[in-house]
Amino acid sequence: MLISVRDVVKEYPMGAGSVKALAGVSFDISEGEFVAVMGPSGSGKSTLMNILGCLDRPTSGEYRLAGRLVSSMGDGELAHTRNKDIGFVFQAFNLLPRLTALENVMLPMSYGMVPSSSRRERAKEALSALGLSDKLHNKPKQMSGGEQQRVAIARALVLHPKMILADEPTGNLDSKNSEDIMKALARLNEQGRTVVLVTHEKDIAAYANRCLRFRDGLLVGDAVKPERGQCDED
Amino acid sequence: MRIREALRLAAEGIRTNPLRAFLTSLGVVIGVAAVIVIIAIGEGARAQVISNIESLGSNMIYVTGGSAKPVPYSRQSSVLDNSVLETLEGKLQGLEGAAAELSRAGARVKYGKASITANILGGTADYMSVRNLELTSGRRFTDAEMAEGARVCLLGSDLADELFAGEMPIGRKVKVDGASYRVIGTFTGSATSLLRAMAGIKIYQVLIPLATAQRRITGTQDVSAIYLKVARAADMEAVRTAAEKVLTEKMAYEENFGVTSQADLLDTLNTITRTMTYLLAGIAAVSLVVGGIGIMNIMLVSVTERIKEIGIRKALGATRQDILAQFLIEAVMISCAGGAVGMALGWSIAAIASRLAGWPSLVPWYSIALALSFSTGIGLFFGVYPANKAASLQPVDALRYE
Repeated sequence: MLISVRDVVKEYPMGAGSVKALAGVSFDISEGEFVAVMGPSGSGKSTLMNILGCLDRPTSGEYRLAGRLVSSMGDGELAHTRNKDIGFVFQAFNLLPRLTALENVMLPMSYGMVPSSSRRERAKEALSALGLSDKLHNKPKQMSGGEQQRVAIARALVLHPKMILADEPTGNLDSKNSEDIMKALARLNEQGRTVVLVTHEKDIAAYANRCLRFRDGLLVGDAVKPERGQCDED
Repeated sequence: MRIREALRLAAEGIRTNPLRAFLTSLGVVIGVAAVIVIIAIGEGARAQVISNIESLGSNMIYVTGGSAKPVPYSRQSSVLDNSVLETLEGKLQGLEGAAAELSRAGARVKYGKASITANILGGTADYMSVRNLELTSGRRFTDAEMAEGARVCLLGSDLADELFAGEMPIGRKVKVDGASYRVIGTFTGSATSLLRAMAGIKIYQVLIPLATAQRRITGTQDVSAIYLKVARAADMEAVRTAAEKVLTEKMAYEENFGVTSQADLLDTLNTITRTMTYLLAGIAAVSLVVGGIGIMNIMLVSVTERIKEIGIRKALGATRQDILAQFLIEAVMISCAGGAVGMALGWSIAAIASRLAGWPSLVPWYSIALALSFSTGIGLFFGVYPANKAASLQPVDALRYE
């Protein structure tokens, strides 16, 4: 099992008491799955995304990634796990504006143990695979949203992570670019990569082969190979 | 992450806003330049004063009466007289020469209409050689003139130039405090007082035989100072100790005389000038601290501006240490660049200042080491807090920040 989540609770202090963003959630994700996490805003899907991405720790419960207990890791180990095992694709692309496409893709390698001699080549390969060979030296501002998101996917892929974590990856894109990005993610999944996709759009979720639905911090639906309609917002 | 990478990152951060980086480092530039200029000027002035003192003659021991401090121009009745000189000459070994002096400041020297204030120095036979005075024209005093206290004089060459304005002084008569003296020669050399030598002040002087001076000034056998020139530098301490012993035996009270060597004066002087230099450098160092606060201020702004970037870097696997190193190195770089520029600036100012003041420019190695380590230290010290603030950001919060 790649991901194993057991009774995960996340509380945020609010005023005198606290509010539960996740109120006890359990599920597993196997290697090679393409999972869509759905739910309205406030359902806890972003909190789950942060925990799955090792950006945050649960208040209680266990989260295992590839057998390792993430929920009890220290900051350094979390950083290492983010670098090695997880590739992030964000809604706002989150490229560093001062760096070129190539430099942005090289960034995760500078925090990993990649010899500096091979970084440039690997980054070039990753960008070419996403059809960006002619944009290597462009800065984010000189690229369209779709291109920026493809740079972000190249960056997420370059260290061959165990899973790609995409948080509303098409939220800032038009439908043509959205389709391109989703096709790229689907292709990665076909190549065997685990993809976890957080979205509230059912068209986007339809690319996945499994759908987890959240509401009020609880998992309310888990459909494998969803038929049309099974992954809708309710 | 490797050091080279961290350096590149930090340099990139600085390049993003070069004007800001320059203004930030200005405090350190000024501080380092000030420290270097002050130390250079202090050391240069010290070297100048030391060379003044050394020009008085090395291997010299000064015996003064009445006080342990060298006040050879004191007119108070002295415990020293001709017999003290004779005793010292008789009992001390290793002397190259010895001379006694009776002096009086503020005498009026007149020739025709010209009138100049000068010091009268009455000296024994060896006075000129012991005090390194060079005859520039005419002749020295004869033994007969010395013995009878003849009214003859040697003029300091600058006094002669002023007084005679191109005329040949030898053979002419000048009036010193109303009495008439025949000029038999001129001399150069710093037979000035020690204190004046320290300050580098030149004064006009008239040299007359000791016997003449004793008759005209005090009417006694008193002398105001005795100069002992030691043959070998290695014997200085031995001769000095022996001189103290002889004087103690001869005189009733130890406080009645002082024995001082050039080394003592140099020691005292070194202490005084060093203290002054360190004090001033300390004040200059305050501006370094102010510069450091400027760096901290800008680094805090920079961290706030780059929270999103920090979040992204952390999401991509940057550890606490990576972020800490990035910002810390940036602070140290700004500070060190300021230190380097300040060093160049300080060096130039010191060179110009010393040329204007006419003393050697001295930028000792320790002032450079001090300035560089100070600027690195300041970058580190004032960079730690902002860098730590950046490193402690939680990735979730940093990513969410807009």
